[in-house]
Amino acid sequence: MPNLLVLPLLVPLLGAIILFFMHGHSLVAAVISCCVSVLQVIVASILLWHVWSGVTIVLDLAGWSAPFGISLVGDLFSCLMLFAASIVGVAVTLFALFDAPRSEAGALSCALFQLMMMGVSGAFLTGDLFNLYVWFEVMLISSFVLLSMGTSKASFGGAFKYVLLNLFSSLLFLTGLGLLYGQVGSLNFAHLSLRTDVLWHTLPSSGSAVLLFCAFAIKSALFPMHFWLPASYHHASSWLAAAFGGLLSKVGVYALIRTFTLVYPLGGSWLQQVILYVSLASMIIGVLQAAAQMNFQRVLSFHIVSQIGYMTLGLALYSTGAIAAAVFYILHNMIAKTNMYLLGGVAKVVCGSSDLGKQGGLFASHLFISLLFLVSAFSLAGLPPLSGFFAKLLLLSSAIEVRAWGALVVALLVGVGTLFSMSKIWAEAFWKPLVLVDEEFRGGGATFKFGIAGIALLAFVSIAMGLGSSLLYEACQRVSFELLNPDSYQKAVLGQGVVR
Amino acid sequence: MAISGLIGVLYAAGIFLLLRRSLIKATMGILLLGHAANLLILVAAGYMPGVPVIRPGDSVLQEISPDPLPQALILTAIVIGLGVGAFLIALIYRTALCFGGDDLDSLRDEE
Repeated sequence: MPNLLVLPLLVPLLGAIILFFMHGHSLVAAVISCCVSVLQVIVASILLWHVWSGVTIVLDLAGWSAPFGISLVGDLFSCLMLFAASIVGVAVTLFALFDAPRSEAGALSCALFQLMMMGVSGAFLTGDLFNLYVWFEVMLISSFVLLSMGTSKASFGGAFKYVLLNLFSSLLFLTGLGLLYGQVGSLNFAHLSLRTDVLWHTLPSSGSAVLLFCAFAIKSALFPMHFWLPASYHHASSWLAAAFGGLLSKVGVYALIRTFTLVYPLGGSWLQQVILYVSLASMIIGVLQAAAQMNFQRVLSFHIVSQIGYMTLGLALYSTGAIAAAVFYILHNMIAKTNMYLLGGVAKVVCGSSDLGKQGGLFASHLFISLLFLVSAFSLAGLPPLSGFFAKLLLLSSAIEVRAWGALVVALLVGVGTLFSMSKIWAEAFWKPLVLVDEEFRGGGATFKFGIAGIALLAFVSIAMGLGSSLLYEACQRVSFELLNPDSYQKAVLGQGVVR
Repeated sequence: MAISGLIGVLYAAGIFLLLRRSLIKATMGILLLGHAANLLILVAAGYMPGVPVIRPGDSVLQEISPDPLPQALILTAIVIGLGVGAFLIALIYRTALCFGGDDLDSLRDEE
């Protein structure tokens, strides 16, 4: 059973290898990519089913026992994130099937996407900080290549900003790792969580905490390190933008939560205040910058910054309820945000441009898509009974519990700001009548239905998360308890005896 | 102590170059920062100048010997840096082919 943990890494890798041979056959490649993603969902759900009963699956790679070798650890947090990521993967590849004949390098994009999924799965499953760095790099390099496939000047500029800033964050991560290893002598999460005598108490280890926070903050696009996101995401083709928006920044938030509950527990430290203020600033600035944009995908990109602020707010409040709310928010956001990007892609194809001023009339011409948009938009803005409502409610009630009144007020106001942006997109792209320049841009055709299948799948999952929120919240509470009291994690990874 | 000074100089030079307008200089900055981070791992964790991990003639690791793990970490980081640097150079080449020049300020959204 421990060997199950390798499957979420093997499936996308083998898929990518097969897809590299499909160069030139875009449609076949897109179909194979879909099948690989469905297989990944099956693997992820088997893992989740095993872990749901309270077991933490640990695989010591190559037989080296835990703190000396690298371990893959599947606890409930990892498996939940893996499952959500695989659902995002299926929806995005279904949409790529619809989009594929129009993009430049079909088979290679699908292959690189599968490699990116391998990096994401590895980042969720690893139990070692340096291994996390390696999986981040796998994910990042695949996304670099995917993002630089554009042809316009601005897309190259965006790609460079993305590449340079993310490489800088990787180097900050490496620096923090070096200092941490020098202090503690181990990079295994479970082992690091035992060394509370050293961490926070020496200057190099506190410095390492700040460096790791900066590195993950750049990757998660927290203010003030978020400017690479809106410069680059809207230049990617729609299905890629959806994959990036739904997955990459959430992996950064996952790393933040893992590091600052297991390795550097945040309770009462000065870094907790820093993360709190950075989260509040991200929420406000993200939503204000989103309100000024007139490009569908750019509004969504700035929105991601604001939503990431919500998730790290849950981390910064650092109570059981707050971290549970943060995990719930991450899961809800992965689904809803990806859906919005895919809808932006549909709008671009149907109306011929991403500019909100030039779009229009989607409610009149495509009723079903408009209803799916309403599901996602209401989910992001926080209306019941969709998942976003419960995510926001849990976060706000945990803010009340710890008496963080400023955070409460900011979160409520930013919710109004989110609703404003969603209404603007609705009014511009869906409600107002369309003034078409060229008649040929009207969308349709045989593969159009598959694209809607991807969006409909995500909308269905969003509704299901809302209706089944008590079950999901129970899981998130268990995740939060396991993170804040890492005894079961440590025992699972390190065994009964503790070394050094 | 000299090597710590060298690491500091490399970090400073790397960050300075990263802030330049020319893309080639930014790539050089990333490469220098990579070198600096690798040297930092070496110095911070088990730096013993002149002492090999296994001395010639020994069959067993001695009591006082340098830690081999940071050297493995550095190797991985060097290889990743190599791949990334190669990609960056290819991207700059393609930019120069399509648009001429490598000025980052000229590649922006027309707002």
